[in-house]
Amino acid sequence: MKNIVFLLLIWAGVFSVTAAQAQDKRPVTITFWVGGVCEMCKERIEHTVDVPGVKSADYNLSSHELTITYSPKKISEKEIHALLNKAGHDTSASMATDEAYGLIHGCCKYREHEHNH
Amino acid sequence: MRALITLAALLLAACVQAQQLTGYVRASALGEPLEQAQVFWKGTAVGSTSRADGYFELQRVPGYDTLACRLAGYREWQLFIATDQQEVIISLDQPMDGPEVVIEGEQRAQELNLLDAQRFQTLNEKELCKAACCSLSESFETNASVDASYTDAITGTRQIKMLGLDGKYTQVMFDNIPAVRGLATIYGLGYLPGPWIREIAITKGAGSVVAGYESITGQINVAHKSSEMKERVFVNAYAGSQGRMEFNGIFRQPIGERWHSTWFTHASSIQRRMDMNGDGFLDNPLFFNSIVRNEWKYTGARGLRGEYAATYSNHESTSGQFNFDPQDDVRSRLWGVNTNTQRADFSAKTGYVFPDQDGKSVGSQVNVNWHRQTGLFGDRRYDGEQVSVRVNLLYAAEITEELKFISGLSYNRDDYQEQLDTVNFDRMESVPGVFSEFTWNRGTRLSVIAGIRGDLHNYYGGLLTPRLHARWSITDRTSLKVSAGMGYRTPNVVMDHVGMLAGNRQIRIEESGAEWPFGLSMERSTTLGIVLGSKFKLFYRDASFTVDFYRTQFSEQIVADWETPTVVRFYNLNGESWSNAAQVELQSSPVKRMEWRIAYRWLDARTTYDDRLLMRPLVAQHRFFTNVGYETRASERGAKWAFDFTARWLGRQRLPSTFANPDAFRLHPWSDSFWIINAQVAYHFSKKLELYAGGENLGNFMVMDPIIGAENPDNPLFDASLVWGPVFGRMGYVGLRWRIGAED
Repeated sequence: MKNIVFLLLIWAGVFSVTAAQAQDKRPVTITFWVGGVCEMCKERIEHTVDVPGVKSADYNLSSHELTITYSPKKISEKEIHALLNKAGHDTSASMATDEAYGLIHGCCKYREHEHNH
Repeated sequence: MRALITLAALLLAACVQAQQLTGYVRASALGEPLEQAQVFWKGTAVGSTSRADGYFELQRVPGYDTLACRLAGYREWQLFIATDQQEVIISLDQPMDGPEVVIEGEQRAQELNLLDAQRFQTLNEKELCKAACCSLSESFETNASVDASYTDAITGTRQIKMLGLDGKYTQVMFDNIPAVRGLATIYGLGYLPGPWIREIAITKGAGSVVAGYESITGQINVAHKSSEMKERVFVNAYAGSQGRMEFNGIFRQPIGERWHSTWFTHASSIQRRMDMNGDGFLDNPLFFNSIVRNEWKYTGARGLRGEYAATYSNHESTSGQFNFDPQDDVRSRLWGVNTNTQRADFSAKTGYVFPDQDGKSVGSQVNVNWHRQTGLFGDRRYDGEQVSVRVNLLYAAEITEELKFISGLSYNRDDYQEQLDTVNFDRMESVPGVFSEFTWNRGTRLSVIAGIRGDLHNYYGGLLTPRLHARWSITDRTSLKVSAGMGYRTPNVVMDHVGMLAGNRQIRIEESGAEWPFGLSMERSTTLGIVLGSKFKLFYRDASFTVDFYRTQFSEQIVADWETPTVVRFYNLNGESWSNAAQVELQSSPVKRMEWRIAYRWLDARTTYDDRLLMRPLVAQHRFFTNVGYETRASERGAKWAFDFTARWLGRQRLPSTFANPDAFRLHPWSDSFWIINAQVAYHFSKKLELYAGGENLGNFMVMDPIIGAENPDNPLFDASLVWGPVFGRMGYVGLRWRIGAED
């Protein structure tokens, strides 16, 4: 009986450690604000984050929110924001440079539209 | 995705034209400014949000002129905006007590359209590009709900089947106007080239009463590419190893402010004689098809819309014994089929949306169609001509926010002159009708569409057609749909079963009433259906699961009895006849940019032949289907690879009895089961140009002896109508799609 309890404890210990490790590797889903106004923005935003490590991305035009599932082992949240900034889109964490913003199409100029974050 | 690209392009077009609309959103005409209101063009995803002072600005989208505004706690607002209008004041009024208005993902055009609780599935352009898609009948290659099979082993004619029943029970519409009817029932699917198609919407079960009483197993509505097309010119060319060459060209031209003209052209041909299964007969007919269509769209300043189209087509086809040639003195004595079909079609749709009045609109649909087919099937001569006129007048309005209706009057006239050898089947059907369809939406959870129509048929008297569709969203991601409805169809014996002419079977019609067309009664049926659909996350991406069950029960039917060799008999059903169809389908995306679908279907279709209840012949009870599509990540200019793979498995099918034949002319009572595998690779150089290459029937499965008595067509047992699988083996093709003048 004791042995069994002991084994179970060991098993539980090992399991919780591996589970904790798995937790770090498991993909996470986050949602944050990204500047964008049109279908073309949506396409660009989703295409920009179509990189290794990102499992899925969905930009909601009416709430201006990007829901993204990624594997933290392969890409960091910061890198995702940086990619979007590089493509000309401001995010809740950081702004795009004026040069990058200047390159996006005329109808995508979300800064000239209302800001509602 | 394609829809998104189209929308993006539409938006782009708006940018290029730099037409802008500005305005303010207020609580009432003189009220306080409203912030955060969503202002958008109805039918698009192009919108903006009002600022703190109520100000908004919005780019115009060509072709969309209904502006809508939504804000939680206010009644939804809509207004027609003239093309030259630049400013507007939106006054939202009457704060509602009920739950806040939820924005639906899918927009519905304001006028008369298919309704969502009815619609089962939509195939968009991206889906249609997955297969070579020469004609409409081939467009269902990547779809699990609709099958395409051959009518016989000689003429290469395909027909579709839904719920295990022949395509004649499915109502096919082009741009919401019933199209493939009467003499064109079987061949008609070849009259719409695949590359002309923008979208196909499939409704399983009864469908809407607005289009008439004819749909029994479902409705398929095919929308032409037209002014919504983003490019000016679309060119498609195709060449296949079976010798088929095809060209399609679409040219779009805005004319002035309000008109849009589109020319559609198609030419296709096979001139190479091939006999892969070595039975002495051509595998594919030699043919030449040419089709031209001109469409005019009008978008008026005050809610007036119009769509006018004229189509002309000519089809010539020769099939039969390998060396058959109708032009040659000696070779014309071989057994062969030679047909010529000419069609002219004119349709006019005019709609008027009352400005300032919620959802009130009137519309008319007028369609005139002339169809003439002449042909030689061995020694039999067929001559058919049909002139159809159809008028549909519609009125749509909202009774309350939740309850809307469409009502109307219709008149349908079909004048047939049909002759097979010396027997004459002339008839004239004249059917006036009235209909009403109510749509009731309770929040976003519940939606009920109840329709009824009454028609007065000159041969069969009064016909009452009740239909009901309901959708209940159990959760945000799971919905249950049920449908029930009746349908009718007049007999059209010769052309519905044109495959019987490919052989020496005698045709025997057992009349029951001399006054009726063919002396046979009208087919009457009831179809019930239930669909459970669920969306969820799988592999971190969207996935869906659908399970459905449909039952069609005939109270009256024309039985085509093939159970005695050498003869095909037609008589009124005396006993039971039904079809049960169940299907499960799973869609998921196991890898990014990959779509994977897998489906299984079970069918049980039985009919009483004389006094025996038998499985309907040439229907596979078990079917399995899978489709995988994958695209690489597009480069900056849109270059990418796209791969597509489809595999279908058909279980064994019952063949009509050939037991009475001598040994050498007997078929096994059951067919083999088989796989059909198709694959395609496409390279997109940019969003404008793509090349594709693919293969069909890669497993090279062929029915080796599809024709009974192929050695001697003079033998009364000669019969090519019992074909249960492909007669043509592995085939390859290449093609290109080129969009010229696309704005990107």
